[in-house]
Formats: sequence, structure tokens, C-alpha cells
Amino acid sequence: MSSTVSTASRSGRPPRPARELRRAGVAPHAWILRKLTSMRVALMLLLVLGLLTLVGTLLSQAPAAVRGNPAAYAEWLEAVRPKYGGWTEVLDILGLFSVFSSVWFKGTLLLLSASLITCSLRRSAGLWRTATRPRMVMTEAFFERAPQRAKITSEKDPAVALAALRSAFRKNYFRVSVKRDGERVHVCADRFRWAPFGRIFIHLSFVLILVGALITATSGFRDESVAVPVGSRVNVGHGTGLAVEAKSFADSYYPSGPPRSYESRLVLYKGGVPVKTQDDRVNHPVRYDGITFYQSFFGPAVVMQARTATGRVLFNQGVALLYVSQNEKDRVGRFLLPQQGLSVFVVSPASGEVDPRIPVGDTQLEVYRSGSNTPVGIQTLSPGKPASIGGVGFTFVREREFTGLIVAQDPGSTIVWIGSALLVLGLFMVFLFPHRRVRAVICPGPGGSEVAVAAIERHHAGFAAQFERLAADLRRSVGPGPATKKGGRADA
Amino acid sequence: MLSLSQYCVFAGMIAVVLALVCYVLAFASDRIFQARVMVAADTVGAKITAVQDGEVARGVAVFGTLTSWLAFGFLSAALALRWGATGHGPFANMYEFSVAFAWGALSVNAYFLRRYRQWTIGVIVLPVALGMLLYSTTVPSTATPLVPALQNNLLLTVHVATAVIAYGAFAVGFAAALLYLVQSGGGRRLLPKRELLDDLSYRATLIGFPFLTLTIVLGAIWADIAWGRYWSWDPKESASLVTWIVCLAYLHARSARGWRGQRAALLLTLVFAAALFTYFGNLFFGGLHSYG
Ligand code: HEM
Repeated sequence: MSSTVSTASRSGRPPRPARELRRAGVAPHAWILRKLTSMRVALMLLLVLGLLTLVGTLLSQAPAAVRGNPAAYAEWLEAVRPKYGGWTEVLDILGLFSVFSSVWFKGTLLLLSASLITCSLRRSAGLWRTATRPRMVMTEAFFERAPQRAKITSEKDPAVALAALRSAFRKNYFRVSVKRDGERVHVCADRFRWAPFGRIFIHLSFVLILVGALITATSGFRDESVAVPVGSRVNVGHGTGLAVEAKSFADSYYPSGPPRSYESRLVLYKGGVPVKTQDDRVNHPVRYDGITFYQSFFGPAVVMQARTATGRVLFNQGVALLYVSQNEKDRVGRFLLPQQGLSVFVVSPASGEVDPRIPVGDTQLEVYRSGSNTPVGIQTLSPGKPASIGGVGFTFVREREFTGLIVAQDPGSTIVWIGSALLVLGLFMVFLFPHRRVRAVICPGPGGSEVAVAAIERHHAGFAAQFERLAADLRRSVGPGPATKKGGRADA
Repeated sequence: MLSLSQYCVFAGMIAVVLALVCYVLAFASDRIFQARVMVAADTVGAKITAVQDGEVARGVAVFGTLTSWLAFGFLSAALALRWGATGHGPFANMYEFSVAFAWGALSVNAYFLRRYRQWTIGVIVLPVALGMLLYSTTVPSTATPLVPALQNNLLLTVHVATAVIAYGAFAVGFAAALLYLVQSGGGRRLLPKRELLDDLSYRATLIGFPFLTLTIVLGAIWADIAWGRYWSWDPKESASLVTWIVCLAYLHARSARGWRGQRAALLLTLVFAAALFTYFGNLFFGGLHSYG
């Protein structure tokens, strides 16, 4: 960074008018604007953000599902009380058990965004001016005092020397602009002059990412427990009009034991019409129309049939045994027969467990009337043998597996990706391709011309060497003629 | 091939130790020489020029530098062999990642050696690399097959490779910052000038920060693909964000508020501490990143 505009802002001092405003007592909005564009405030905000994130890393955080439910939250608090003792209440009141959704966190992000936007807007005009309309005429003092400088004496006349200088700069990937001022020719050479705009990209990209995250948090949906028994079709809901059917599920393992793959074959239906068939694997989700289906978990299921006394089929589907019973011996699933007002629990011994009440290979049905806690009937069913409970004939058809999916729609993620790309691009622009500005002036000299070259870059030790190389190149090209002085600090 | 890879790690470890010994000898010989010069000057009034006295030290240091290149070569070979044997980037468990961390530190160190020719930074970076290598001997080195969540060769490789470069850069930045702080009582012989150290630590951070950003972004992309959510406030994610934010604060303090020297160096040691915390974090806070 060698531009005049940014050098001024580098010192971190507020521009003088602002200081006078403060003395005069300013309107609140001006005060706010000044604070928002103040680096000190921005730094504080960043540190607060860092601290809050650290707190969120170190303290247990209540899961999202628990936070929405007061009873579950109270239970969760009791669970962490042994860890935090008397601090539990304090931490709870301060919202530190859900740091990332607390007002502190959101407020800091909001202020930071405001600060970023005002800063970027304020700075972009200056950057544009620096890039497109550099000050062309530099004083003699500049060429005498700049930290990097070189003098070249050439036997060429000024016009030829300029052409040579130009081509040498070009060879080093500098863009050259020229202004004639009487006998003197002023040259401004830039490399990567657009790179400083990377800073604007960086700052705005961060706001973009926050906006994306906000959209993620407030729109779309995420259903983490979509269990689809193999052979059955389940509605996705959430206004998507989609249904998903699992054709198959397979889990495989390495000989040494760890899982190797989980894979389901899914068919998606829209309005009853199949629209997509694809294998769903971890790391290879199925996407359709902005909705993504992630392979997430799996478990046992049973295919159940229910008929009325007249033989009309009420239900004929797989039931995922999603839950584990209290004694942890059984897996439990549930389905509803809305017309009958019945709620049916299906209980099967978990794999490897023995429940003395349920013979191996059988399954137990507990049928409740909705809203009641006393069962209408409990019966153990063997495969293929119908039984009647509460006037409905139930058949345990066979065992199956279910595949568990996360189904999500996240319109914010696209914006987050655009922001991230912009952020990375900006960073590499700014750090790896820093803007370099080198100035030169050509004057007619006794035996041809005198060329002075200079640059300001105080903060990069490597630049001095770069400048030396460039100056040597320029000297080779603009010569011949004895170099009267060596460049750089050597003659300082 | 796996055992060959392990031999290479071992050879690398020995090379790191040798390089370190050379560097320490360089410092020591310089000390002794200086002491002798002083004694000589006291007793006989002998005059020995300053040019001569650094020479022994520098000669020994050149050996150290060559050996640290050798260590870099061995670790590169070890990682390449392991990659060949397992078929995925050598970044899938704590063992592989520790060796990779040491490799990252050595590679950024090598880059700085070439670019700025300041071997003294190695006095700090080499012990860091050695620490990671020693740590790698305490964890199982068997090649574990990839569980489904890790089965994304491209992202596994790039996400962790960028992390390794970032951490290596932070280790180098930390080394320069530490040497800066050590000298706060005034210049020490053999060590680079404080301004240069200040600048070197900044240069290292300018590499580390974009790479850390890339690591986090790639991690988010991967999380979106594998877990169905780009950010879950998983402890490892949060910890990497802390590192990122402290680093960001450093960059702003430096470029916009002109922080240099002592305060900047202290912030950089904090950045490295945060990076280590992120690295070892999953050992004590579990979470989605705990792949053992
Ligand atoms: C309140 C918020 C912020 C303010 C007021 C602010 C302001 C600034 C200023 C004045 C500079 C110096 C520009 C220069 O030297 O020309 C800068 C540089 C930078 N900012 Fe920010 N910034 C803020 C937040 C952020 C955030 C959140 C990020 C990350 C995405 C970020 C990333 C950077 C980077 C990477 C640089 C370049 C640093 C360097 O040149 O060494 N800033 N910022």
C-alpha cells in the first residue's frame, strides 16, 4: 500500500474535522456515524465477538430443540447444574447457555455490520480515486526523501528514455501513466492497482455472509427425523408437495468394524408423479428443487397392515421404530388410524436384546384411543397372523429397515457461498497481490536525461529488495550510461 | 508402504532434533566466543573483529538449516507414502494430522528461510514441529478406514491441507513474535533486528489468515454436504472462529491503528495459542469433529 489516500488513514487518527465537531458538540447521528466508522470501536466489537464465541465454545450450549421448549429447557438446566452450581442462574439470565442466539451476539453482529457498511462506503470513493486518478506531479522533495529511490543517468533524450522506461515497467507488469509538465515528464506506474478493492470485497462479503445466515435462520426448514421405511412413501410436508420413497437401504462395514457406507435408493414424487430417482449417501445428498435430502441415520421398521372388519385396508406401510423404550430393550414406532381415532404403538426387541414378553421374531402392538392413557388392547403378533384389537384387524407383515433422512431447504446458503467466495477472493487479492505504486520523473540532463524513481512502502521489508530489482531493470533498459548513484537506502 | 512412511517420520524427527542441536550449538558457540573475546580483551587487550566472531556460529547454523530442509524432505516423503498407501489425503486421524502439522510448520519455515534467510526463527519453529511429531508417537498410527462422513476425498484433502498451511504460518509468526519479545530488553546478537522480526511475523500472518479463512469456508461447504448444515457451532468450528477473530483483530490493530512491536507480538502469540487450542480442542470437548 503506497497510495496517499490510504497512508493518511493508516495512522488511525480521526480526520481533523471530526475532532473539531466533537469539540463543538455534535448532533447524535453524526456522533453515531463517527463511532461506527471508528477503528477503535470496530476493534472492540471484534473482540467482543471473539469473547462471546469463546464463551460459547467453553460453556455447554442448550441444543436448539431444547431452547424452544420451556419444560425441556428446565430439565436441561438441571442436568448442567452440577457443573456450574450457583452460576447456573446467572449464566441462564445472561443468556450464555445459548450465546449464539443471545441478544449480545446478535447485537454485536448488527453493530459490526453497520460499521462495516459505513466504513466501506466511506472508503470506496477514496480507493477509486487512488486507483484511477493518482496525483501525477510529485515534488522534487518526494524523489529526494522517499524510502525507496533510485537515480538513473541516461544518454538517451527524454522521449527515448520514456519509451525505455515504459517498456521496462511493462515488463515488470506495471501499468504506466504519463503526464508532461514543461520539460519534466512525470510517470506513475502501478501494479495490482485494483487490489485494494479487495478490502471492500472483504468487508461487504462479511455482511453478505451475515445476511445469508440470517435468511438461513429465519426461512426455509430443516427436518432432522424423516424416517422412511424401505418400500414406503412419506410426505415431506412444509408446503413442498414432495413425497419420498425408499426403494432400498444398505449399510456396510469394514472388516475391522467401522462403518463403510450408508446408502438408500430414493424416489421423489411431486404430486404423486415420480420426479427423481437417485442413490442417497453420506457426502452425496440428493437435491431437488432447492430441497436437499441427506442420508443421516437408519434403524429397524416393521410393515403393518390394518383392515376394517369388512376388509377395507386402512393402513399398509412400514412403521419406523424410531424410539427406544425406557428399559432400552425395545424399539418403538407409532402410527395413527385417524378415522378410528386410534394410535398404535409397535414394540419390537432391539437387535441383540431379549424381552421376555415378546418372543423372538414377533412384535407387540399397543393400541390407544387418541387422548387416552389406557390401552384398548395389547397383543403380540407373529408374522403373517392377523389379530383384532379395538375392532380393527392388524397384520404384522414383515420386518424391514428404515432410512433416516435430514430434509432441508436453506435459501440462505447460496448467499453465504457468494459471500465466502468474495471473502476468500478479496483476501488473496489484498494479501498476495498488494498494490504497488512507483513514480518516476524524467528531466533533460547534460548528456541526455536524468531519471529519478521512487516509491513509498515503509511496512514491508521485502519491498526494498523488490524495488532494487525493479530499479536495476529500469537502469538496464533506460541506460546506457554510467549509473551515478546506487538506488535504495544505500545512498541515504 | 505404511511402515516405510513411519520410518520417514522417524528420520524426519531425528533430522529435526539434529537441526535444533545445530542451532543451539550456533547460539552457544557464539556465546562462548563472545565470552572468550571478552576475556581475551580483558587480559591481553586482543582485538578481534566482529566479522570473525559470528562466523563459527553461522557455519554451524548452515548445517542446522540444511538438516531442517532434510527433515522437511523426510516428512514430505512420509506424507506422500501414506497418501499412496491409504488412497486419501494423509489427514484423517490424529496421527496423520499431527505429522501434517509438523510438515506445515517446516514447510512455511522453509519458505521463509528461502525468502528472508533468517534461520533463527527455526529455534522456535523446530521445537513446535518436534512437539507435534512426539505427540504423533503417542496416538495410534494405524491407517483407519474412512467413515462415511469423511468420505469426500477432495474436501478432506483441501480442507485439511489449507489448515496445515495456516497453522504452519501461525507457528512461524509465533516464532518471530516470540523472538521479538525475548529481545525486548535490547538487541541480542545473532537474532535479526526487531523491526525485521516484527515484519516477518506480519508476513507469516498474511499467509496464515487467508488460508485459515479458506479452511473455514471449505469446512462449511463440507459440513453442508455431509451434515446438511454449513455451520453448527460445533466446538471445533467455534474454536477456529475464535482463532480467526483474534487474527482479524491483529490485522486491524496493525494496519488501521498502527500497532507494532510488543503489543502486536503478544496478539500473535495469542493467535498461535488459539490455533493450538483449536487443534487439540476435540480431545477435550468432543463434538462432530471427534474422529479420534
Ligand atoms: C467493524 C468493522 C470493521 C471496520 C471498521 C474495518 C475497517 C478496516 C480498515 C480501516 C482497514 C484498513 C484498510 C487499509 O489499511 O487500507 C481494514 C482492513 C481489513 N479488514 Fe476490516 N474492518 C472491520 C471488520 C472486518 C471484518 C469483519 C473482516 C473480515 C471479514 C475484516 C477484514 C479485513 C481485512 C482482511 C483487512 C486487511 C488488513 C490488512 O491490510 O492488513 N474487517 N478494515
